[in-house]
Amino acid sequence: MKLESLSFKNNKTGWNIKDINFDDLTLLVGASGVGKTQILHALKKLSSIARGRSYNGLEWRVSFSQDNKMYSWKGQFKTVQEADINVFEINDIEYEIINESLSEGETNIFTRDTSKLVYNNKETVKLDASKSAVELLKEESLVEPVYKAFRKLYQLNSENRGIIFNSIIRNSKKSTMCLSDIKNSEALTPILKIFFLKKNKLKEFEIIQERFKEIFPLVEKIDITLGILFNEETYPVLRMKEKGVDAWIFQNEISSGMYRSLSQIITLTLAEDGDVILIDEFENGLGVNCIDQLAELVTYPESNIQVIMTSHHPYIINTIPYSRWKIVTRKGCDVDIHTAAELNIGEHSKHDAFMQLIQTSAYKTGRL
Amino acid sequence: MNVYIVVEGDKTELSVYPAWLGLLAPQLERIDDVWEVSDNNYYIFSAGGIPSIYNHVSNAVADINDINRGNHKFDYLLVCLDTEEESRQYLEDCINEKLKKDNRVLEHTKMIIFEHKVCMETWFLGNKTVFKENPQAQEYLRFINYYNVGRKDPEQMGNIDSEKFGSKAQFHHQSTCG
Repeated sequence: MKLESLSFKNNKTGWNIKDINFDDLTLLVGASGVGKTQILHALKKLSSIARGRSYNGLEWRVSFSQDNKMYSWKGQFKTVQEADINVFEINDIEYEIINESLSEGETNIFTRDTSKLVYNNKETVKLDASKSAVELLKEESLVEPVYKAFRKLYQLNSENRGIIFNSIIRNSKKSTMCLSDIKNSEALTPILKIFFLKKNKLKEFEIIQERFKEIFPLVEKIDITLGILFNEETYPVLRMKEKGVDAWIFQNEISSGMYRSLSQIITLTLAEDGDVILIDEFENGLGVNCIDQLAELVTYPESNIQVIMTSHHPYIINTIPYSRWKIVTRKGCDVDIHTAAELNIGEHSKHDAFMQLIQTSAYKTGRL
Repeated sequence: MNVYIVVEGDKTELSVYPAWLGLLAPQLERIDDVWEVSDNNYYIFSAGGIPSIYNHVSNAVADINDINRGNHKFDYLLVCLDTEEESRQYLEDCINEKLKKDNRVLEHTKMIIFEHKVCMETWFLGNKTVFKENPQAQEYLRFINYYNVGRKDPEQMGNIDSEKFGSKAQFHHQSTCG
């Protein structure tokens, strides 16, 4: 999938992300609190909506391409005021979709309102009103590509260092997993993915290890060992060996920069054509010894992927061409997105683009 | 009259200069985009410290020449920077050397170097509403015993402890916090 544009509004809170266009690499920059992370959250919510989740008061319009076809998907959930919601039932509440449509180019695929759902010019039987028709009709040939497209959107997950033990790990430990099983398993953190790459003797484990060692030349080896729980069940634990140090460094002792770097390398090495990867605060925990090489991995990825990320770091912002910047500002609940060109940032000035950017009140104050 | 101002820092100067200009030259209106300069405007470029300010002054000269080409706009380039441990002459030499190296000459616009001796905070110490004669904190009493800026010229004050305060400017800055 490649995302082209998004408008996203929460009619309950009033938050309104106005028309944002995406490139293969989109860098969201701006003052803290303007809504950069909200844009990533909005995209993740769209992915959840496509899988049948409902959200109070959300309204969206998104354009994207999949398999060389251009799609437009829009919809709106009913807005229920907080006072009308029983807090003890809040997790069980589902919100009705009041309108939704999907089209491919000029051709309408489905349209629905509160009274009917019309797919491919035929009215369907009554279906769940709180689930997107993308989920409901995912077996249909015209909708299936869209359902699959949104499964390719995910956020870089590098924060979870705890022990993870679930049925997928338990079952997978006994069976063989192929590369695509590992790549596409949403239940696996990046660290668990390398566990299964190694266990299944896949060459990607070595590629990841070599990339990591290029950034951290003192690291000699990455390994996954097994920890044992009180009930004698085992769980995977990451460990690293450094040159000149006899003892292994275990998962809970690894620096946050190394951990995040490894997570980014795993995610980007396993990424496939059409993946859309969201990265919030790209530079978090990264030192000067790794930030440039990791920035290169996202700027020039090996696969045909789309990366949408946020950053405050001058090196990252400077490294990524200003044509890929989206400067986010906010006025009240309205989140606006500007290109560098709109702020008159460009080569007409002899100042670096980053220096031009930090002079603007849009960047400094988050308002325009 | 239009003025292009390059300041060294990104906080104090960006607060103080617009406030001063509001009083000293209220006819001047600040612009966010230097290329939209018309009449009675000023633009402030924050250079992010020394030595990068010398690069940015050189780039500002190039931009001013481009903007002025065919339609003279900017009358002054004001460069505001801290002398710290150096002299005004040293700052002028650094700017001129950089311009010479980049082969740039400011055309039809007058450059004025506006040095803060030692730093901008040094000036604040000379302001009776900023400087308190009777601070409560022991540290500031020690500062006054070292050098009483209420009676003597703050620009002549040295550094009480060069290990604790890496430069004279850092000590002057800290002295304003009392």
